[in-house]
Amino acid sequence: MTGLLLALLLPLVLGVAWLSRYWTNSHWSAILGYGYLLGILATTSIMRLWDALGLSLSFWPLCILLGLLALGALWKRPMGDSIGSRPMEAETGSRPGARLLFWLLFILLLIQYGGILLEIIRQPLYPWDAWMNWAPKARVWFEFRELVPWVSRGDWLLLQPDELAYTLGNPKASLYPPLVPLVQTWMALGLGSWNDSLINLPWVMCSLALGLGLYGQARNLGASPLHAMLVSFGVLSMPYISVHTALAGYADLWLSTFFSLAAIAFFLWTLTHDPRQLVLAVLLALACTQTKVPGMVWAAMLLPAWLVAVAPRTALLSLLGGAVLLFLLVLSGGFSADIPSMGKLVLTPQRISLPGIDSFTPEYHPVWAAFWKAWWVQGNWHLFAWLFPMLLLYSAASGKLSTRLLPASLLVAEAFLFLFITFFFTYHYAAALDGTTINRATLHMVPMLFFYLLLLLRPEQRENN
Amino acid sequence: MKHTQQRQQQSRCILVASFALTASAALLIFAFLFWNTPVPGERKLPSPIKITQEDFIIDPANGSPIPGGVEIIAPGPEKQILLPITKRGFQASRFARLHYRIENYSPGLMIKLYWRSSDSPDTTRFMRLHPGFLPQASLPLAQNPGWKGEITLLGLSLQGGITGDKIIIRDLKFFASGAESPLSMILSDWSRREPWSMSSINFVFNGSPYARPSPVLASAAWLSLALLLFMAWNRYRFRRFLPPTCAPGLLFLILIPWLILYGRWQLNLWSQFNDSRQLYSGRSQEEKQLRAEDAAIYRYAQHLKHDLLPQQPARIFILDNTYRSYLRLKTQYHLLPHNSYNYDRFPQAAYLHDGDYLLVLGNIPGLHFNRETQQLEWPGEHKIKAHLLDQSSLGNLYRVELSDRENRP
Repeated sequence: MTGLLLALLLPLVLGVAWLSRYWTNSHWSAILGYGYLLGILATTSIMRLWDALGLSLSFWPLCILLGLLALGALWKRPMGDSIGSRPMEAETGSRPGARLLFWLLFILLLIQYGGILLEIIRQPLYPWDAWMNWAPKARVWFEFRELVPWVSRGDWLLLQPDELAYTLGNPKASLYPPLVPLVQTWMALGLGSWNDSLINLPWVMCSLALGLGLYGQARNLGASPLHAMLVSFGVLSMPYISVHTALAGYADLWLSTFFSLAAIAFFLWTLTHDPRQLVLAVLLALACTQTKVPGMVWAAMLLPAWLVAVAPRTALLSLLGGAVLLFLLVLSGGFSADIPSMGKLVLTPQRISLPGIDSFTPEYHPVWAAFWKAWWVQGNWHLFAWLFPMLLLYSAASGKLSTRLLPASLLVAEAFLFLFITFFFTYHYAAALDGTTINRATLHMVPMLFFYLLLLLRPEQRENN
Repeated sequence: MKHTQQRQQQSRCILVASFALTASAALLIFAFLFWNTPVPGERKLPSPIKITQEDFIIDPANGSPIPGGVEIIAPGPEKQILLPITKRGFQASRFARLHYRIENYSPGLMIKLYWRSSDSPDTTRFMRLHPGFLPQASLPLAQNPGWKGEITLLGLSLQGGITGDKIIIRDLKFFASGAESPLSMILSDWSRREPWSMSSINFVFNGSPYARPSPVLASAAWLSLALLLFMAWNRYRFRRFLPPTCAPGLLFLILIPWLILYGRWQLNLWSQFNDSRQLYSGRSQEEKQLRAEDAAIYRYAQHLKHDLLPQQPARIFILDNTYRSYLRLKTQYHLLPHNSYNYDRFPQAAYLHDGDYLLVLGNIPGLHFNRETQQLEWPGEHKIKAHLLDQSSLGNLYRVELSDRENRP
């Protein structure tokens, strides 16, 4: 039990210890949420470093190391806030109705997560990809106490008798990034045995980190407790979020949390110019690349948005120029280039190959019906898909789409464009038609979209300088 | 004073929002009923086909007839029970829905209606009977493209559940389209339970997938109409569609439908949590796996691991006729930490090492074991020497025996 609790809480303690050292003007809720995610990133990175040094993965030495690192955050801890001013305290509202609603939503979430926690503890590992793609790596790493390599099926066949490597039953999954199975390995190490229910407890933590991060950043933005709670509740109440928490084992919830909170930190950086927000955005973007292959694309989206934030005219001209160049390349038959240690980049009308990401033939597939069903008919997102365009239109009509929100708006547009290209122009259209991937891809951006609505609809207030 | 006026205005807006929601709901229910209720006397509807206990063929070991239905003993995750129904010979298209009542529903139980028809006499079709939150549930058979022609075979199949649980299935009736009220049909569809399935991680319905409209679509229509009414009132009263002082009213308008959908989802979630509690609470890892729906696969993998395979992780080539089936992939998972290669129908002879294992799941046409020569043979005159270690209904396990010169270069 001690090992289990330590495995669950040490990453949180580590992340919060260091984050609170430097992010002193943040709401505590954001420190908790972001702190946990940074702690997970740090823990899994340390495990990889540990293994790279040839050391056997062992819980207590790793535990001591993480504990010492957490204590290190206390050494010569700066007093007070030296960067930026404290967030303006939003009107907490003496209105009893607002307080009543706040606590009602809080209690509903408490009850929901109580049930989800019990479900994870009770249910054996259930969803398909969880036992096909992710948990097997953790199982093997735990068994050998080392990060045994996972190779392609072709490479596995060529192994010599004295070589040790594994391969999965899904051809591409052997090469997926390691963060999620490392989290499960860490939990197994803490437990001291393999338990394919308890290794998924971090999924509850991830979901709660998402809620806390949303709430805290909304408060950092100057939103009232009720408005911040509406954002958190809105996201966490959606059925698809609770499914990915309760049926733990997939990487999509992690990618959603990493990317959305990275995007939100980026949003706040564009409005407040607090460099710590940008650092958070970069760190969580890095975590995206270690979680799932599409995480690299999600993370890369921050770059054009950042360019627009720092040099809008240059960025927009570059984007336009890039689009024209791409168009001309396509007209001229495209091009291909070898990128060292990555592979071949191909951009032709017949084939697009992005090394390390994907390769496909660009062809239009009208999967509108699949999106209609997933977003507007099925029960995945409650009424979010209906409300988002309504509120976007209302914001546009009321002049709330200011130029200050241009970087944020660009990031949102990029997110939709990514989904559009992926499902309408690549072989992934089949996964849209059978419903296996649309919602999982949507999950990655929904919390960000929800927060974006807050940016649009919040009353104009002074932000931190 | 100004503050008080503002409060009064906000309260008035919330009141207007609630009237808008009420009016919108009333209008939409009226429109739904008007659209879906057939004109009386337009056509003569056939009487419902009632399935009584005499219509079931039940093995006494599996259950017994009771007034109005049957009492069945849950078979558990590794067995299946078939309950043939003798009533047949009716035209499927004349009967759009099946009503039923399930009592003492056992967690993990799957009850399916199966049938064959003159339309496709060699194909057995299935539709699952889910329990609902209301006592009576219904299945919209007309939504299944295979529900047509004359019914030539009919029955219920049951699999899963907690072994020994007694389930009661009663009040089975086939209803003609238009024979029941549209409201009761939609309530039945919206109150259908949605237990965890392999598709839950990809999408959920928050109701029946056959509901027309779906709960989300209906709520969106409700909200949209209420919003129009609300905005119309604001325009009349304040000359603005959405004045800032009416923000609480707008929030109320959005929150009510959202919370209703949320409440319905929580009902579903907690019924699933209750199922998991009954199935798994207080049980060891091993016991949980033996109660799960893949218990047969787990049991088989444990038998291989404990009785036949070495303690140290061994190399296993898993062979199956289907490229990516649940059976082969879940077997690979349950065999961990043994090191499996899991892609092919036939062995990759060029890459086998002496002492490797071959696990052949099910029957693979063309692959057979020659007991005389102790060789596995497959098309192309391929053969390898192998020792048959185990035979079971799920698969056969072999150990590869290669001489030194046959070893891979």
